[in-house]
Amino acid sequence: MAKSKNGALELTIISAEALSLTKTRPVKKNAYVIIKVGSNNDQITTMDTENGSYPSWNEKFLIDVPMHVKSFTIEVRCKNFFGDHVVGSARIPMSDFIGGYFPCNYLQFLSYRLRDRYGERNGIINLSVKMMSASNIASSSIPTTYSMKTTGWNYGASMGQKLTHGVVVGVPIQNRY
Amino acid sequence: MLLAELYFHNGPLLNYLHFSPLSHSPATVFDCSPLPKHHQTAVMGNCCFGGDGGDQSAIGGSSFHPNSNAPNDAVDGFLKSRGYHGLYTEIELSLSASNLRDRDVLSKSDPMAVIYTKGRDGSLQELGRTEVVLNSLSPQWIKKIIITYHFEMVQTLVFRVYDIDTQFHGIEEKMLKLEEQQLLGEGTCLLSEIVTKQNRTLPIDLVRKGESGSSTRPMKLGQLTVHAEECVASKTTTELVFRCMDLENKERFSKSQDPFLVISKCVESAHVVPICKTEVIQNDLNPTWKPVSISISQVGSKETPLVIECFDFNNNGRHELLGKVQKSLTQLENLHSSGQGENLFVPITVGKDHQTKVLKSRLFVDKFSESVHHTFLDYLDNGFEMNFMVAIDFTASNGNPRLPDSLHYIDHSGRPNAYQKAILEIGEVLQCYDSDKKFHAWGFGARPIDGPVSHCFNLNGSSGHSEVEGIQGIMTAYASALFNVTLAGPTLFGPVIAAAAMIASQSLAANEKKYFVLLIITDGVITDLQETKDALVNASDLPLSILIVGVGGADFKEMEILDADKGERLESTTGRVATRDIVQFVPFRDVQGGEISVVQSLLEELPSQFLTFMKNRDINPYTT
Repeated sequence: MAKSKNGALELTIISAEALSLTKTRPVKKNAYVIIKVGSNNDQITTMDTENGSYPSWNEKFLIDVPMHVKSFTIEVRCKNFFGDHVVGSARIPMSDFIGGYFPCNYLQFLSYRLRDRYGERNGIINLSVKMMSASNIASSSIPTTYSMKTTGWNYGASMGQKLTHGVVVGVPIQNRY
Repeated sequence: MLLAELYFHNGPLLNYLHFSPLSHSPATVFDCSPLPKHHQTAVMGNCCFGGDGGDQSAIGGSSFHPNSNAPNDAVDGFLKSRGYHGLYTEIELSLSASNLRDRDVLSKSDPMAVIYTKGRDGSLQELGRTEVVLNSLSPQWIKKIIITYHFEMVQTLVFRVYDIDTQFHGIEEKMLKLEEQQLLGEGTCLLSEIVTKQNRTLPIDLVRKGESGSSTRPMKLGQLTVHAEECVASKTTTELVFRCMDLENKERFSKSQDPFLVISKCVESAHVVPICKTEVIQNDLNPTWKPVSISISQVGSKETPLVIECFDFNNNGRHELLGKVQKSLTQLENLHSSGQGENLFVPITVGKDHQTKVLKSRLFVDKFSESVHHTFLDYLDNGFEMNFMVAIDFTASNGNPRLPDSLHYIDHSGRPNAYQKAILEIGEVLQCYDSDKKFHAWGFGARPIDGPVSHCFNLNGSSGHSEVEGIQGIMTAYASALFNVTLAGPTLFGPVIAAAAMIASQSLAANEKKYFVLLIITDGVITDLQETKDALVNASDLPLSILIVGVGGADFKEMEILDADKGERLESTTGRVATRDIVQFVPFRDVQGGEISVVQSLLEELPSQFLTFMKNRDINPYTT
């Protein structure tokens, strides 16, 4: 699938929720996001000055994803009088939006848990992802590689078929229109 | 905080407020005002000026998230605050008929239609009557009948057409004794049948009283056509950003000025009804508030005068008026385009005269934008469907199905067991929204003949397809599966959720206008909690909602974790968090007394989950 070649990723950093600097101190303002993909240059959003610990950016980035990259990292930071702090980060596995339920070129809305440097939960980041891969455009309509496990209870009896247990059956696509 | 207060102040509000599914942010909690109109006024009064005075948050129609794409619960609250009540929609029915029977000797019939709602016990309640049309066998009645549409209920309507005898003409329709009139025919349908029809028009064949639908060959007595229209004056919503300049400092004891705005509409008899208020801004004489949205249907029209009052927040609840203006939405729009400020005034009483004093404080409109929103019925009208799927627990904890104490025991007297009951009650509502009435049905936690334990097998026994025909098809497949599988364990939800998600994603890829509802009925606590969470999180961005019904006497506390209404937002092992709340859980034992409200509460949220999904993805009902 798309993993085999370089793909482009349209990533929108939408917003974050419930960010705090310490347990008792919420982020007041100036939160921003760094996107780290492999060894590429990091990309940065602007600072949100208005929405405090519920910042909102809505910024779109086009990211090249080399084939060996299995995940990328999102880091939420915050600048204040005392300096530049890492609020929390999330590692986002590519497998969450490649080869999952969704067809290619499909806009997906995802949310991730942010964790601070001690691994403690610190808010949530909301983003949307659209995979744009050249290799997959021709076959982007219906993912045919999926199959899933369903079995009938009387498969031995049905139509005299001899099937062994644990059979993997593709579900037919209902296309009535 | 606000929510808590509302709970205490208005008991009935509980029902409406338990929505805001994943709210952790204060913004989203206060964002939602999922109250039907008649409650809204009551709440407003309470919040703004109640003696408590403890809340400083905005309420009613204000949106805190500047981007409407935020894929979280904010959208949900946002939708409701903008009047997207999937439920409680007022619908106007208009009637016409053709080929009525002629019962008058010298002239034609003089028909009048009467509409009833049929209760679950079969009793009829009159909803309204049309006028009498003289001398017509194809009348088009003018008078409209209003009915409230509830998504979560099966609403059966009965229509009766009477020929009104000449001697009764001139008498008011309401006063007519129907038993003295000649019945021309009777028809029946479900309200959901009308609203799911494209163009919302349903023809019904009239038959003789009592035989509607049941008799093999009912006598044709003409046809009645019912057309439904949503009673919404306008689907336009305006978003406004207000700012004030040079507010007067009224605090005598060097306290700070904490201004907020209350927006009310003027109704007849010089009465004002509050619509929304902004948040309180601390210590600011030149405040800019967060956006406020006001729907046209909330205020009546763009010309309705609105009173915008600026108050200084006071902890004791006696907020002090800093000044007000009176402007219609049109005037506010002009104010915005001109960039001018409007001076605030305060009413003063000089002797017996009421006068106004103009202040130098000014109000500005920094943003004025209009948008059109779509209702659940708009989507239905344009061919969107809800597709029902069901998964049944076949684990051994249900007890041997051949013994009467088993949850799976099929009583031959026809009394449904808990599983059958849940399928019937939820299925009967949802099947109306599925045009082909083919439902996917699975079982889990059992051993098919000679096989290992399966956590997702087709209920119909087929190895290829899992679809069955109609609710009856589910019942038949369920009953036959019971005698063909061996109950086993453990209870895993992951595989059935994945199967449903797969079907939803294939429909999405094929660009179908479908939304899926998976009903899982179970008797016990799941053993794969984290796996289930992963499956749910992965499915949270699909056109899918999951209803879980717990039957039997087990302790379902753990299941409530899955329902984000009651707990935290679901998180997968990879750290991904559910995009939106797609799960509703309810223990069914509460309902077994014959009450149906629990099943209804389970279904109530579906329209808003549907709308959240559509809104998130910017899916317009009118595009194909």
